[in-house]
Amino acid sequence: MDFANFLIQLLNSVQYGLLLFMLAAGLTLIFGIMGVVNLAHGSFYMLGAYLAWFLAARFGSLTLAILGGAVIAVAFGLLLEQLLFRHFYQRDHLDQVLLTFGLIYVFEELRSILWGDEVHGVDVPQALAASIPLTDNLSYPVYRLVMSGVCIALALGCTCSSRRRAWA
Amino acid sequence: VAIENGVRMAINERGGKLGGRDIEWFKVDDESEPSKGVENANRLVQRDKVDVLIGTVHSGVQMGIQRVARESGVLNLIPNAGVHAATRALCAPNVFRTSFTNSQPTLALGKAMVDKGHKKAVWITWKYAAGDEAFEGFKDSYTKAGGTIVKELGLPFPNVEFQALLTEIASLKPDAVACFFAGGGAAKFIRDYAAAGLKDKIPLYGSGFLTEGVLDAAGPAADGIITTMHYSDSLDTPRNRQFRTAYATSFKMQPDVYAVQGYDTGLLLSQGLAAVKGDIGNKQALYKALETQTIDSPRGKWTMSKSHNPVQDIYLRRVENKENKVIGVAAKALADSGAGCKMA
Repeated sequence: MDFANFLIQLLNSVQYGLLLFMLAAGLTLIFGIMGVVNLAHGSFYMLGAYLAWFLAARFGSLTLAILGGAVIAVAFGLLLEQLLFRHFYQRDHLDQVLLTFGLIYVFEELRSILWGDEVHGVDVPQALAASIPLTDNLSYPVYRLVMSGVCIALALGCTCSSRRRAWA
Repeated sequence: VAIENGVRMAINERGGKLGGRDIEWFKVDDESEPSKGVENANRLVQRDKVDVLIGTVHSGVQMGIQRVARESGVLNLIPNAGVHAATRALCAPNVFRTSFTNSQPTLALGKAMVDKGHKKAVWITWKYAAGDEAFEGFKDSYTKAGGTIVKELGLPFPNVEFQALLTEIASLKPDAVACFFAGGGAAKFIRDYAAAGLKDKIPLYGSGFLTEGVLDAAGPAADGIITTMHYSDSLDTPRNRQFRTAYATSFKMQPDVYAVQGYDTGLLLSQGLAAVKGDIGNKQALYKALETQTIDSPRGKWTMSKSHNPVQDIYLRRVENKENKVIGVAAKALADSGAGCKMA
C-alpha cells in the first residue's frame, strides 16, 4: 500500500470512529447522567432511521424530516420515561437490563408491523451528494466528511456542557 | 410469506388437492434461528405427524431440518436455503430442493465477466457460509474461463462499513469487481460503491441477490450492475407473464424470486403426488416420481439433479431503471456439482 492510500485509510478509520462515537455518546450520556443501562439504545437509533426515511418520503425534504423526527423522538422518549423508566431509577441495574432488553423485542415487532420488513434508504441531500476525487479512481463522499464535522461538533458540545456541569 | 403464497397458489391451481387427497396445513415460525431448527422440525414431524415438511429459508435452520429429515425419513422440500451440504455431503433420498445452491448463480458469473474482457477481478463478500459458497462458484467459473482473481476481500457478516475495502479496491485497480451481498447490506454496498466514485470506473458484478428487492433503496447507484441468477422479475416469457398476472391478482402484490421458488415447490409436490395417485406411503415410487418431474416454472423449465437440486438456466441481468433486465442466458441447464453426495 502506498502512502496516499495509507492516508485515505487513515481518513476512513477516523471518520468511522467518529460515527461510532456519535452512536455511543447517547448510551454513555444516559448511563452517566441518569444512571440507566439502556440496552434498547439501538432500537432508538433504529426508530430515528425509520422516522427519517418515513418523514423524508412524506415531506420530500430531509431537513423537515430531521426536525419532525426530532420532535417525535423527544415526545416518544418523554412518554417512555413517564410510563417505564421513571419507575426504574431506584432499582437494580439488572432490572433495567431486563426492561430494556424486553423493549428491544417490542420495538422490533412494532417496526415489523408498522413499516414492514423491506429494505429502505434515504437519499443523500443534493447539497452533500457530491464526491471529492482523491486519486485517479477513488473519490470521497462529501456526506461522510460533513457527518464527521457533525460528530466533532457533538464531541465539543458534550465536553463543554459536562465541564460546565462539573463547575456548577 | 411470498414462498407460502407461491406454494398455495400452485396447489390451488390444481384444485386444492394433492393426488386426489385433501391437505391439512401446519405452520411453525422458525424465526430464522438455527439453534431452534431441530426442535421446530421435530414439532412438525412428531407432534403434528406431517407427511411433507416444506422449509426453509435460512441455511442454518435448514441444517437442523436436514438432520430431522434424515433421521425421521419425512419428505422435505427446500424452497430457498442454498446451503451446499443439503444436496451435497448431507443429501438424502427424501430431501429435495427447488431453489438453488449458494454457488449456482456465481457459477455462471465468471465466464460472463471474462467474455466482457474483464480478466482481473477483485471478489468481495461477507465472511460467512453463504459468502464462501458463492465464492466457490465464482472462483471455479472465473479461473476456468481464464480470469485471475487479484484479491479476495471480506468483512464479517452483517457489517456494512465498506469504506476501507472500497479504498483497497481502488488501489488494486482491477478490471471488475464481483461480489455477494443481499438485503439491506447489498443496498448500502451499491450506494457506497457509487459514492466512492468506483461505479463508472470499475464495473460491478454479483450474484443476483445483490439486486433482488433492494433496487428502490439503492436508487440510480445500481444502474448498470450485472448479475447472474435463476430468475428475473422481468423475464419475458408467456409462462412468466401469466404467473405474474395470476399472482398479483390473488395476493395484491408483485411476486419475487421467493414466490417463484415457493410456486415451484407446490408444483413439484402436486406433480409428484399425482404421479403416484396420492399414495404418499409408497415412498420409493414417490421419490422416483419427484426425481423425474420436469417443472414448467415461471423461471423456465427445470429438472432435478441426482443430488436433488434444480438443473436450471442461469440468466444474465443488468439493472436498468430499478429493474433487473434479462440480457441473456449466462449458462444453460446448470447443475450443482453435488460433490460428496452419495446419490450423485
